[in-house]
Amino acid sequence: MVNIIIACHGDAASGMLSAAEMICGKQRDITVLSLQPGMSAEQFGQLIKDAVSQFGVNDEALVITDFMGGTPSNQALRQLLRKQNVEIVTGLNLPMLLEAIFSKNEKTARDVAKCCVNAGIDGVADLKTSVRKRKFSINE
Amino acid sequence: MEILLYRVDGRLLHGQVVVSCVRNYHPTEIVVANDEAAQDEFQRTLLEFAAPPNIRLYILKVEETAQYILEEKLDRAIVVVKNPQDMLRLIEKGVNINEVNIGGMYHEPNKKQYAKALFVDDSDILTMQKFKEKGVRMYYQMAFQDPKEDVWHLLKIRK
Repeated sequence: MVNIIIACHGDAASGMLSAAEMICGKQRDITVLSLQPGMSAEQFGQLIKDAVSQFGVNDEALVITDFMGGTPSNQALRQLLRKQNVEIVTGLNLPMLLEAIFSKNEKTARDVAKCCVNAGIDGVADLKTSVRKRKFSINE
Repeated sequence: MEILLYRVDGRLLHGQVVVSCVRNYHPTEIVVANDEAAQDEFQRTLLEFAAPPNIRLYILKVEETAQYILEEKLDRAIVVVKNPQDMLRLIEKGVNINEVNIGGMYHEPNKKQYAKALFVDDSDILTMQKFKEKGVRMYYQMAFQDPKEDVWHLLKIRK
């Protein structure tokens, strides 16, 4: 089982989780970390450290952050780069979070991370173009 | 042939069905049983687009759906109808349904709200009573991992 930690600016993490719960029901084992306007980078780093330390030494975790270069991602790397059993993925979107929710009980942290990246990327599309393409192939 | 789920959902195909139900039931097919959608090209396009790839999507009239089920033309399917009245039509055409998932009955004028996605009027209640008479169980559950709730309890009607 992979524990999921969502770490983002403002309310992005809790907001995205509430959206995911509309689709798959209430979730447990998901921790939300929110970087508030006044918080220092070190304070946020400590939040991450604390969140991860609640898990057992052999437990796996996946941290999902909002975007590369922001404090949540930077602090996650700082705290967890050398930590075994914890993976970090960035670019949170709803397809990615849903993938994490569905994979966390069945895959290793490394595999969940890979699937999350793919799901996140596949979830981005120009809808009108996609519909036209699909329609074209359906009518062939 | 196995019908994995009979669901009433005013939004037909959307996140809860396409993501949550599919991931949990692993159907090979989804059947949208709706007269209007079956005849409307634009709606068909939107539904086809909402459906996950690798799963066969059927958009059929309610009566055709009953035929498909009775003739066992499906494999492992989820059947979605828009309202309880259409579900009752399936039952009256001879489809054997043990349990109905009330997944979403949304806001409409003159409907009263009893839960997040349970808006009900007299016609709905009459229809649900017919389910009861025919021994068809009902439970309210929007998303797959939500707890299943007793609809009558939510409606606070003791019969």
